[in-house]
Amino acid sequence: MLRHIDLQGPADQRRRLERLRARLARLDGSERTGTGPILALPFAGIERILPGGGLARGALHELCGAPEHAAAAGFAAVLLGRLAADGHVVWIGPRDELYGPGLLELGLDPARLIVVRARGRDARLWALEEALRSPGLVAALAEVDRLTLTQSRRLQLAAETKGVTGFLLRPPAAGQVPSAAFTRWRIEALAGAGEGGHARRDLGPPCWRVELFRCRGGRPGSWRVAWHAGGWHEVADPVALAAEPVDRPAARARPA
Amino acid sequence: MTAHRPLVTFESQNSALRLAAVCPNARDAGLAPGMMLADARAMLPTLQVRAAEPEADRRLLGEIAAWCERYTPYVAIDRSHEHKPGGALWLDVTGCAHLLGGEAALLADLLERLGRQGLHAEAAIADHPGAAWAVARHGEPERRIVPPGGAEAAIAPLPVAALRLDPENARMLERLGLYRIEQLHPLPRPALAARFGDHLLTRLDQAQGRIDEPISPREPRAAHRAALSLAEPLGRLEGIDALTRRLVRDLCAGLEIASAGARRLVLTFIRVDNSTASIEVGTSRACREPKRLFRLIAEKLEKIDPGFGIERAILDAVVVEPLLPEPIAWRAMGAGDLDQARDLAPLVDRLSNRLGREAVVQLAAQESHIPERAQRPVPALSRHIPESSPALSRHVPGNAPALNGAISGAFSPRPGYGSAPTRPLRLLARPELIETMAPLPDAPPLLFRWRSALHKVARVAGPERLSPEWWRAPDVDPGMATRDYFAVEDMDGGRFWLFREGLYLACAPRLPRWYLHGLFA
Repeated sequence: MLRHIDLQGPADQRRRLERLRARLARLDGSERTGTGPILALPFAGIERILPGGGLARGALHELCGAPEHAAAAGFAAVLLGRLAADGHVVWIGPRDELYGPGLLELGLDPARLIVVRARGRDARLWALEEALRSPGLVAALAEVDRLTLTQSRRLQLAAETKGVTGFLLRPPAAGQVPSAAFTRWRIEALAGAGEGGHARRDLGPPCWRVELFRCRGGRPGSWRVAWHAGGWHEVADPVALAAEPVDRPAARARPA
Repeated sequence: MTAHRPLVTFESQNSALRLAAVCPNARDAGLAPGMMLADARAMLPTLQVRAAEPEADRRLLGEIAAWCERYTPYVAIDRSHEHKPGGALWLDVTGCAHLLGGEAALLADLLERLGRQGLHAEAAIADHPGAAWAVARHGEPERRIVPPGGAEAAIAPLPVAALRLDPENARMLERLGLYRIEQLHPLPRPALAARFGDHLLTRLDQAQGRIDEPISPREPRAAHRAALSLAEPLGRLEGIDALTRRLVRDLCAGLEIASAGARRLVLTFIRVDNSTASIEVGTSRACREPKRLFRLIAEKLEKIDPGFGIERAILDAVVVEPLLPEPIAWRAMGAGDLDQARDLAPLVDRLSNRLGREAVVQLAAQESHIPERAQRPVPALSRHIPESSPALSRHVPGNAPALNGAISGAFSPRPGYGSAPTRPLRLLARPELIETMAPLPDAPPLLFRWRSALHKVARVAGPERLSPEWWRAPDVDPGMATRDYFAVEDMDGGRFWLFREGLYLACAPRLPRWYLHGLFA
């Protein structure tokens, strides 16, 4: 006699849901990269948003930002600097503009960096794919503006296979086009959010608004961060601060 | 010869059009190189004229020289008489003649094959280059092979022009009645030296073999070579692949026996029509792994056009370096970065071979406070890069160079003013001129326009004054003016590195110019 299995029970439903989730994760590959090694990003609440609580290694990440502000490039340099502790990284761009002293101040040791200059977009994509398939590298970054879905999928697969972390540096308009990158970020420079120091002396540490707008197996989120003294700091929202009036004595008149 | 219209080529010499070369029909009609084109046209109204193309001639001579490598690897182009029409080659066939059945057979084969390609050539074989040169040009057609030791006898009846003298010496000899080389023998050598200089005696001795005249081959003799001739010409790409793999394997076997590795390879294909096609690849470290070398070559292999078929392929290792088998202990000791560099070499090679050696670089520091001179790109994985930057340094900001010198090549951290980076992430290749509006001469701008975009300045840090390096020679540093650098942030948050070139009063009455040099993160 057939036993009737009660399919309506909550335990069964949960089990079925878990099985379906695992199956989906296997199909779109996030199971492999979600639990792999990560690069820690100590942003508030990131564990709830990024699988593993950090940037997955062995995956392709897209950073979009305006090219005339070097904000996205700076964010990328900080990430590469962290990854370069374990080996060499490659930066592929159309022009020869990276400046060693500046990179060092953002934490990327130029001795671990190989700079590749390739004028054509196809040459840059080819170079990135070669780099992602190379066993001796830890990470590779390429500046590309346009990229088809197929090309991004190829790069993501190449990153997964060899475990090299890939980055794409793209203009802001690229955010509209679909891409197979594991995470997609938008980086903007923050105006006037620096730590102060008085004027004419110090602009303050670089501050960025970092927005994760697509993540496989995760949720979008955004943060305001600054890079200072080798670590990340949260930047308070100036509007929120101003909302709280504080009792302060009036400034004394300065002698003329 | 045949009933073709006579053909001549002309070139411009001293702003007159003169004949450069004449065909046999034109020569029979009395034309000679050096004549004025107008005169030649007057003599032969039916003349065909073409402009001489010396570049194309040079290229053709190079191709013929490459083709002649089927006889011997020692082929050199005779550069001494380049301005004359045609060209001349030296071939050192020592030890090669027996492969073709003797010197006479070699000569006949050479001339016949060249003739089949439509090239008329004269050739001679002798003990010494000078004698061969003389006999080829002025000797009897039947006696072009000079027996060993017979150079002196062979050149005696030849005219003095066969000695490769310069024109004035040749003219002077003729005027003195010395027409043939044998007439020079009885004359005392000091007298000849006094009258004509050492050059005449040198040429005489070279022709007779008393002085050695080495000929340097066109390309340095490859230390290692693998070559294959095919019975049937090859036209398909898969066949070319297999052929290349076999050559690479043979070459690497030879390199292994010699404990050497290749740094540069040249693969030459010779087609049925005697044209050649070649590929060159290089590596950053000596290598003798067949798979890696084949992969480098394979990328360029698709560009080879087999034409009517390939009948011979030669793979030369043009630059080799000693490559000793590595003791296994190195890996166990954890040679860290050395391992990594070895792993990266294949990637660097692939990128360099496709994009160029200067496109794959690492950044090395240079001792200079001038921003654009503080770094220099060096080819990746070359020996100049140290392992990593030292944590501490004695880099003094301002005008003085680094005091106790960081390791050359490594960047040293700069003491910053505060929490902001002092140097931009991107430095433009050339500072770009910007239009600015500044309230006071010494003040940083309130507004600036860069690449047609207007930026309003919100915050400023600076100035940092960088003066030119007075210790450098003035011609290296033409009038670089003092720069005051400012880091500015605009209303959108973008940060830029600007400088004002020149001091306000120093360049009066013109206002000083502002430039944008870099972008901060």
